Amino acid sequence: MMERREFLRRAVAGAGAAALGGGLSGAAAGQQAVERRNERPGMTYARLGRTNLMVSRIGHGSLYTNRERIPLLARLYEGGVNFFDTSHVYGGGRSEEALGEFFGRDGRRKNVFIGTKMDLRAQMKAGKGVYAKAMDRTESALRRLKTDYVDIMMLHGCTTLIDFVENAEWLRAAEDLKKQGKARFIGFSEHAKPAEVLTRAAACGKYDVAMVAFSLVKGKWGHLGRADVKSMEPALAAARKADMGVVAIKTAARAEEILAGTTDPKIKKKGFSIHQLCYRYVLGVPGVHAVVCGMTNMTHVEENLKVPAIETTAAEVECFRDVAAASRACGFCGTCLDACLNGLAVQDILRFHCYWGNGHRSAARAQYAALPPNQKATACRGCGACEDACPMGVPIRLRLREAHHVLA
Amino acid sequence: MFWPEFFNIGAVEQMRGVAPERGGSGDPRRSAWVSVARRVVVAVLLAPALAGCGSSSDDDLLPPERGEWRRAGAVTRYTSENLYDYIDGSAPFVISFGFRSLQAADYRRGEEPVTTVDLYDMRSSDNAFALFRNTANLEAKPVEVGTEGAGAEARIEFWQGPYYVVVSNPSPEEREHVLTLARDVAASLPPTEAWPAYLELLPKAGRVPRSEKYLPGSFLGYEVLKRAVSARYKLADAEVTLFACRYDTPQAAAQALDAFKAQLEKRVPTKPLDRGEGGFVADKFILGPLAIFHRSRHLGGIIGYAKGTPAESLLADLDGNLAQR
Repeated sequence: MMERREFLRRAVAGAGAAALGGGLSGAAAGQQAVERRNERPGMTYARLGRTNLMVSRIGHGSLYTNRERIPLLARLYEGGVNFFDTSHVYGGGRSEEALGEFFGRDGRRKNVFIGTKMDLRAQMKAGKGVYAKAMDRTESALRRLKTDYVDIMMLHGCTTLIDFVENAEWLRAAEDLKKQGKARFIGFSEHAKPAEVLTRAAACGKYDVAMVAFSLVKGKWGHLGRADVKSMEPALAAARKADMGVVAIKTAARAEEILAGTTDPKIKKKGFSIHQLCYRYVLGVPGVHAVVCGMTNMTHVEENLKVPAIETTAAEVECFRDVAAASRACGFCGTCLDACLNGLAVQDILRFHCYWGNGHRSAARAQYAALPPNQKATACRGCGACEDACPMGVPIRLRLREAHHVLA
Repeated sequence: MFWPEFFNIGAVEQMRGVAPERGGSGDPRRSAWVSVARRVVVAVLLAPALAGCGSSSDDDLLPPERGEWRRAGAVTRYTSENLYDYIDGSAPFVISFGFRSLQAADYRRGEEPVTTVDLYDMRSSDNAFALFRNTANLEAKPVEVGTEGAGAEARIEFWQGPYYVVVSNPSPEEREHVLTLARDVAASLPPTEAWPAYLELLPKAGRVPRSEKYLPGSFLGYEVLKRAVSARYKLADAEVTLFACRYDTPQAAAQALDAFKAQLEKRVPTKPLDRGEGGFVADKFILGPLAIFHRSRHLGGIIGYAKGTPAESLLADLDGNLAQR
């Protein structure tokens, strides 16, 4: 583990270098003092903006990680992943506990970059207690993580109000955490309005790292796929100009739908899954340094470790994005629900199918099983009114049959 | 109530006690327009009544007044479709435990900051228990509320019946008031009829209190280890974790064990275990020596295995339990 004294020494040296190199471009400045950890063959690494951390291009999102799933951390570590993201809200602290359990042993902590996030929305809404809670949350996070510093401390989800990203009490706490050596860099995560919040954060100049949710296709299902690559481009350009590190999340959220929605062969690459390709193509978007993937089993891990090595050209990235955007992926707008003559829960069935495709198979089956029989796919009379109404041109009747096949 | 649900003609007609129309002959285009027109008429006629039904249902659990508390605003209802709007990236985690819906409301007591009540309908007490044990604040202390409760500062969490409930206020000084409100909410919920039956798979003696957990999938990070119930046990010289995974058939359980062994052997060696069917031991497993075997529709196992120790006896007890199922 890097001692706090050593970290403070580096921080002071870094600040000095930044002052001297104010006129340098981010990349040039980065070449002076990048920090490398756990680099292994097969994985690729990128400089995370002005943090100068060389992070693995695939990071682990620890939402589902707990003590029982520590074997996943071991395999990722062995595979050269050095960026692990967590939060105190993940499993009520069990995710941080698991990371502490694994990285707190055998000198592993000094070989990885750990980012955690704190949820301060209740305090921000109440307009009091933000600073104290930020300090308190940091102490408990460090205790669970079995470390005396985190590499990136992030504000968790600025969704409710964009203004949260500029909350003065939070920013004061963040600065103090840096001075105290408990957080090396400051960041935020955002699901609902990633472009707006990233633009605002880049302009405010206080943030080193942004963790933002966007995917290849825009949709309306919750926050997943609300922002697509195209709508993110101006914000990503602003972040590059500010030399911020950008980590993309939820990038494969609509992968199964994209695949189901097109027959264009350009959407496929032999030997790779659609999830792998979604991650890889988002990694090819200018301004994106890494993608964080929530991995729950060894199959996910083995697949994702191969992602950075997938060879693509810029033209392929562009082409994949266009084909994905043209795919007839359901946007869950609900138009079909109004159009259906038989009162089928069309939108729900397609959504459960999507859950199934995203790996939440038992939950998807349970939700489908709970539908009344007259709302299930088997009640479809095949009239096609839903397809006529669908603004995305989704082949709904086919999708319903597919859904019933896997969910019933 | 959500508009998509409202416009679901089948549901509307069911509420009126009328069987939904099936099929229909003739021009589907014409039928569609007739149907849409009917829906609009039905919607207009029933809107006030249905809106009333929705509020009254919400009000049953989250009423406008609760003792000294006044609800600030309406009850907001979320389904798996828009849970992200409320809890961001944690939504898939909650959904994976069988989530049905969430009702959320803010309550105010005098000039204090609002206290938020989140009622997660998890469809069954098994699911509510599982979510509570996997998501309640790790460092919260047990509190007497609901079937099982925990509290840290002014955040109280509990489960009861099919509900997982969080009552929270940003001010730690509000704790006692928040606890009172939480107990009041619990009193209005259906009682828990029984603790999850899957807990009976694990021996009772030596279990660390509140260490029992249930994971629907990917126990130990392996996709084939499904529906796992686990608990920690204090033995004379060590703490171990005992677990059991359930499958639909003995064949499925046997296949899962074979697949797990094949995956594990890519990383660590295994040796035979003299218990159950196809059992083996992996001494170098990352979490500690692992022993696992197949018995009927179950896999049973322990992390922290050592031959000739209390851990082996505990594994034998688990085997005995599984053999009776």
